[in-house]
Amino acid sequence: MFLISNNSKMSIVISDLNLTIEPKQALDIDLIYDRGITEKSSDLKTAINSKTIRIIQKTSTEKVVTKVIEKNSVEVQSKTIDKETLDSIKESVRQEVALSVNCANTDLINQIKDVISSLNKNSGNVYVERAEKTVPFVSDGVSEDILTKIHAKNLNKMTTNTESFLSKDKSADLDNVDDLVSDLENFDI
Amino acid sequence: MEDNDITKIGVKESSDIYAVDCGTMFFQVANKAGNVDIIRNAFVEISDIDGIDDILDQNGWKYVKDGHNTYYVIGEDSLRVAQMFPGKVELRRPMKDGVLNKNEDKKMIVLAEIIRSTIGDAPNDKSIICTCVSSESVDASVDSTYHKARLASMFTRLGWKVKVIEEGYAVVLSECPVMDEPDGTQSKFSGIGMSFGSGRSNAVLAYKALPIVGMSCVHSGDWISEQVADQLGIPVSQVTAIKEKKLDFKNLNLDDDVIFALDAFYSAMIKNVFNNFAKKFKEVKSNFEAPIEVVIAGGTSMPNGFCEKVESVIRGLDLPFGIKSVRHASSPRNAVVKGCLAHAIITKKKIDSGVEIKDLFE
Repeated sequence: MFLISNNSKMSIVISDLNLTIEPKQALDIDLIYDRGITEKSSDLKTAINSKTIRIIQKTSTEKVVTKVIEKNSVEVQSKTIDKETLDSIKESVRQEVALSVNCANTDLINQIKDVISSLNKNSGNVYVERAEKTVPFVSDGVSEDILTKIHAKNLNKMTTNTESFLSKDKSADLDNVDDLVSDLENFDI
Repeated sequence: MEDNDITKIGVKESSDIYAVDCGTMFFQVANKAGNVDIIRNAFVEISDIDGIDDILDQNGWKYVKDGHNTYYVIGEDSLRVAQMFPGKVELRRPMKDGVLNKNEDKKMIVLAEIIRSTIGDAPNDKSIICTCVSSESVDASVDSTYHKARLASMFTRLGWKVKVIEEGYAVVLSECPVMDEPDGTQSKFSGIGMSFGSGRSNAVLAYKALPIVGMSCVHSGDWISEQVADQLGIPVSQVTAIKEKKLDFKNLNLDDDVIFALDAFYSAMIKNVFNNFAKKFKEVKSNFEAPIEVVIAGGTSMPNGFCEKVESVIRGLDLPFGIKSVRHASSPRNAVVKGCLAHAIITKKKIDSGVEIKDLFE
């Protein structure tokens, strides 16, 4: 088992493995590629070193099954790409960025840049995939953090001169919380 | 261990760690000692009843008074007021379908005051709240981004640092499901946490305490009550009462029309939740060779025999993962707030050990 997970909030493309890992997705890549191939992947190493990809479990390579997964991707042989087509693809990606991403989102922009640069670098297959559900931005481009501040200000106004005389309806006690916390301290949550 | 005495909130020991489960039916808050205060998440608005101040004070009822002399009676007392003034006041709920009720314009002031009364201002700049929201909706019935931001604002305005986790994940943290690995070892906090609440059903698969995939859907307690009421032409309140008091999956009286319909819609809910979760599981291409333990929490799971009911329903489903077992949380009504509390305590320990706050709160 070579179980990895995407630690970031964006889809991560491992170009040299032709693999996209969605946010929070965990994947046993031994079920997809021979260990020899994944060990050689420089893009996977980079992602692991940058901590965007996390190794959850890596066992020895005995009895590794090789499978090929289907991918919903655009795959084009590089031999068939002329400069005009390549420029057109790059422009489409740039427009995608301009339309859907807030400019302050540098992580995503960097990721798109990586995709664009991979168009130039890949001598075999060219692989373009739109990253979905990337960052916690709402449709009008306002971040959750800003939204929270807006609502907090609004609430402060709303509750001016408010008086509360409240009490609980019921109560309960939680058991074994200390034991639970001791157990959880062994994990990276 | 529950009691029914009314104790003023705010007199308990001040804490810099709290967990909050703002559910559709109940608001729960736990301090670091594990004491939970529970308030029914309902209210009535009163603005034109003579002598209301005296009535409220004489009865010792819980209320909020805004700057325009409008009174909001909160919690169990709101049920009593609604019975006392039939036709004059309407029982209302700040939450619906697991999120803030979009058709309720007073939800923010009511919830904000419940939170201020139970938790108060943060005692220091390293004070932590952990709360939860539903996972991504598979039926597109809610906008969880706005819900999350609005909920968080009620704590941040009081100076608290807020950690928001998924409800199903809180069940995993609380109940510690275990996965038996093929090599004979065991992995803790690895399994599916499910919460069947009033407004939504939630499910999260975690592996070694890392959330892998989650989803939520509107098929839950309120949905069952509404569907049964609609099919039989009886009030929802009547269905709810039978659901809470008479429904027993180990001893079903199928000659009773309401029980028969409840059993059918419980089956539909369970099928829906597991099928939707299976779809999400496939989407993220997760692979688990070992069968997965399922832990269940939430008020809708309270009828006797619910876990056996789940086992019998999922036996007929084609799921992309094996099920090791289905079990109830040790305290199904409090499992979510317990998971949030464990997360809050761990987060606080990290801060106290020198981890930068900005690294823990995005």
